[in-house]
Amino acid sequence: MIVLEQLTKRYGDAVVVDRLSLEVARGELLVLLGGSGSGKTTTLKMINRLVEPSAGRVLIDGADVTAVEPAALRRRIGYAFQQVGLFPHMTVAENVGITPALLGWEAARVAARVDTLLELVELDPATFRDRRPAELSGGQQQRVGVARALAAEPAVLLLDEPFGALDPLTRDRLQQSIISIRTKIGVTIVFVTHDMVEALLLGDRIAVLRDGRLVQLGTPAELLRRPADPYVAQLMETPLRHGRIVDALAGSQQD
Amino acid sequence: MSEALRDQLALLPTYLAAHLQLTLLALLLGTTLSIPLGIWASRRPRAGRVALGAASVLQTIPSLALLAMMVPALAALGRATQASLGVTVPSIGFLPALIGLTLYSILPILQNTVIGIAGVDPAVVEAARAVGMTDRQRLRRVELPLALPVIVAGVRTAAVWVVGLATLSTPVGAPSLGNYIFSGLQTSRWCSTRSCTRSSTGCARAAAVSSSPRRWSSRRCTFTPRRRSPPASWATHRARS
Repeated sequence: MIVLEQLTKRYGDAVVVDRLSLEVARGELLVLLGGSGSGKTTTLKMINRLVEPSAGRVLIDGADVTAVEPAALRRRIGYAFQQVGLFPHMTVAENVGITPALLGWEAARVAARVDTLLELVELDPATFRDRRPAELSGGQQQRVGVARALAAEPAVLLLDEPFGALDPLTRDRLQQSIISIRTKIGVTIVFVTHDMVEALLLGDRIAVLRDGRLVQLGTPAELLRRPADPYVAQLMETPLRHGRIVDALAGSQQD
Repeated sequence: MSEALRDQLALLPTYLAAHLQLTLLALLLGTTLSIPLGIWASRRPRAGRVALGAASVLQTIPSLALLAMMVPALAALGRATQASLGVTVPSIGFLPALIGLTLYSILPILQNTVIGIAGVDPAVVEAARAVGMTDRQRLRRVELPLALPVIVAGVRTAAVWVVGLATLSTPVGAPSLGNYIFSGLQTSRWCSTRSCTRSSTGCARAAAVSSSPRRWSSRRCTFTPRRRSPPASWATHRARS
């Protein structure tokens, strides 16, 4: 579905993404996991051409993404990111319906789609449709951001730490809604995060990046059991240790 | 009411109409020049700095000098067009005043357009690209609406300046409320100067109020005017206080 071939991004002398090759299957959720400066966001942005690669290419369904106009390409690819970037002068409905409107959908179809999506992200359409982004909480804004990304029924969804900067409970609920959204619509997702637990919970496979290079690619279980190098082992150690501590505490409570 | 004052007031409609005509036309020209220039400048940062620098240099020329300079400049232009095309350009009167005031209105509008567009949240700009807007759609649907309060604040600043500065078009031959000031200064008859102060205060106030409807409340006004005080600037100061 999505193929990255020797994808490279340089800024001057700095190599941010270094000959990255990987494939994402249709309907898969691939997590790009790494610390800051690992090149995960740059990699994601090269898929919808918010960043143009220095070398290598990206294929979606076998077609090079540079073969179409960037604006036309992006209307087919959903994108949500941590800062959300809702348009403050538009209502929630206008924000969610922007890509369908740009694609020239009829108003009635856009309105129906907006309501469906607001329900999907668990916001009551009647309550939230006409609100402005400033009247929403952080978690509600993130939900609207995800709804906007899904609006034009994209086959590919790119999510860049979409639940960052949220309290743990809201974050957990939004992660659950991503899982339920996946079961309702068979969308291919590339999900960027630096949060190991989030990666383990959501990813069908996880690609670990470090200094722009692919360190390991595998299922969460593979990464936990057979880390390819000390860096991955160290990354996986943290959630395991936390799990053991919490287990021990819960166990001692029961006694 | 003294006869002198009555004579002066009889001239008010003429002067006021000329003053307003000059002011509004200069603002209209300044706005239609500066907003597209500002949009262009915000797309090309290097060229934008040059444009802003040039506008700032224009602003450092004392306003009276700028208006006066238009006279020989237009006279030279007139000689050139006469020789080549057989057309003359009037070098005194309405035209030099209009050009001078237009040039003076450029900086605040240009600068606020650039600041307004640059001030749009980068996350919102990225979202606009990511949802599939073309550059033009992003400008029209996102950047300009969000920059509007700042741009309007720039037009407002320009309006207040130009209303005051238009009094200086009297020496270059365009009638304005400045006629009261200059005739008063020349004859030492202060009632004419007072009439000017009063009428141009009202005029400046009208301009400031009319250009700032509440819904455009300039909550992000970032432009602080740096200005010298030309003789008639009392009017604008009083209007702002």
